[in-house]
Amino acid sequence: MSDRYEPRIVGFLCNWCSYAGADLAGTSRLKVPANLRVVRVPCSGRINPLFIFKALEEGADGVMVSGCHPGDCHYISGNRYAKRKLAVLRRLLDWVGIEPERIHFTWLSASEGARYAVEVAEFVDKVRALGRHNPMARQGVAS
Amino acid sequence: MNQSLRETVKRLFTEGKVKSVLGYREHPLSKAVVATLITRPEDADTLIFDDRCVQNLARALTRDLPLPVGIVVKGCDGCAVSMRITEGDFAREQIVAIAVACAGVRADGKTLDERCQRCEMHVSPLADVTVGDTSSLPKPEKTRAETIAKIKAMTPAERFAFWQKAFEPCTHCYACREVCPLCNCAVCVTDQNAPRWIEQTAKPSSNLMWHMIRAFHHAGRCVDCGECQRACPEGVPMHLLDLCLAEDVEELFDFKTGVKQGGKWPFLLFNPEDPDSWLGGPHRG
Repeated sequence: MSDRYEPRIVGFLCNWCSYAGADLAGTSRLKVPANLRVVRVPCSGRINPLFIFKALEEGADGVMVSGCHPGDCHYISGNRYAKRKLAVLRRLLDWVGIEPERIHFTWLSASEGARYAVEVAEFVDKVRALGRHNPMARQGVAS
Repeated sequence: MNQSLRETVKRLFTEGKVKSVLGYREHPLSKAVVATLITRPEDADTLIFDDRCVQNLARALTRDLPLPVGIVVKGCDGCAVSMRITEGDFAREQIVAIAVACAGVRADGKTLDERCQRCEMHVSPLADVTVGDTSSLPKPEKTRAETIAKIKAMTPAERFAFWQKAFEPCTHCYACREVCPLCNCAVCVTDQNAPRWIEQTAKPSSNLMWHMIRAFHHAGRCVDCGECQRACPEGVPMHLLDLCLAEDVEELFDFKTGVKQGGKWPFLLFNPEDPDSWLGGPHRG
């Protein structure tokens, strides 16, 4: 056991692309950091900003959101709506003084297992650099 | 002003354009200005409009009023009514907007409200009839950008500390929600308890959750009527956060709330050209 700080990250992955991409990373025996706890959602458009706020409040150090590439959405355009919501969400976090870098958004298709592994590893490193202190976390939540 | 308002309302009744009118009247005993609903033309003589008419009557519009309903609107109220029509709460023909020339209101009876100091919308953009002299209305004394500049100038840590302190007195009474003309959800997210998204106890984390989600729900919808802040018994400056987001929504989506009547809320639309840079840096393929 090293003493290195291991951030906890919640990942909201779209069922149709990103979740399958994560699956592919697994079946390809790629090494993906275990810091990411995946929540499968039907579409990135399903992600209510509340989910992200709640994850942060409950002590997550970062939140990763991943949906289909623009034009590939199973529901035609859910990911494009998601983009607008998340753009404003990032700004809101910035306004209240929470680093918007704790939210990572990426388009990821079912065939991009290798890129999934890279994206997760990079994001984990980024959050590790931001540090343990997620100001939004509820008191008493261990991190 | 009062005379022409009363005559206008009577005319609307006799022409059959309205079945009821929402307006302001002075309470006979307390002399306070209160909201009133009139359904007979003779009651129009109780209506008034002056700088004590602080309430936003758009909140009082419900579908069980005798329709079509006339509503006395200041500039900000008119934007809120416009927004409610845009969102499908009412059909355009169910509402008769009686726009009054508003030079600003004084909630404390002396100084111009802060919201009115930056008002650019003294006459409602939604107006079926207009009452009063619209030619000599004051220019805004300051801008929204100036109002939020102090927050913009802070570091993230300072901002966080600022909001923690600002939200600290919040008792979760939800007066801000009750008074908001656009808080129309059938079940408010803070009242949902399966799952319980936002705890209703007053403590730092739930204060922040409530005010963040509140601001998010108002992004691109808030008409800057400032009622939330006026209604707050603890003086929490939650409206400031709405203003911050309003700035962003205007910048990102080129959308000015309540002005483009019929223009859809930007979250219900998308543009294939929406840049990936919104999500923090260019997309990597």
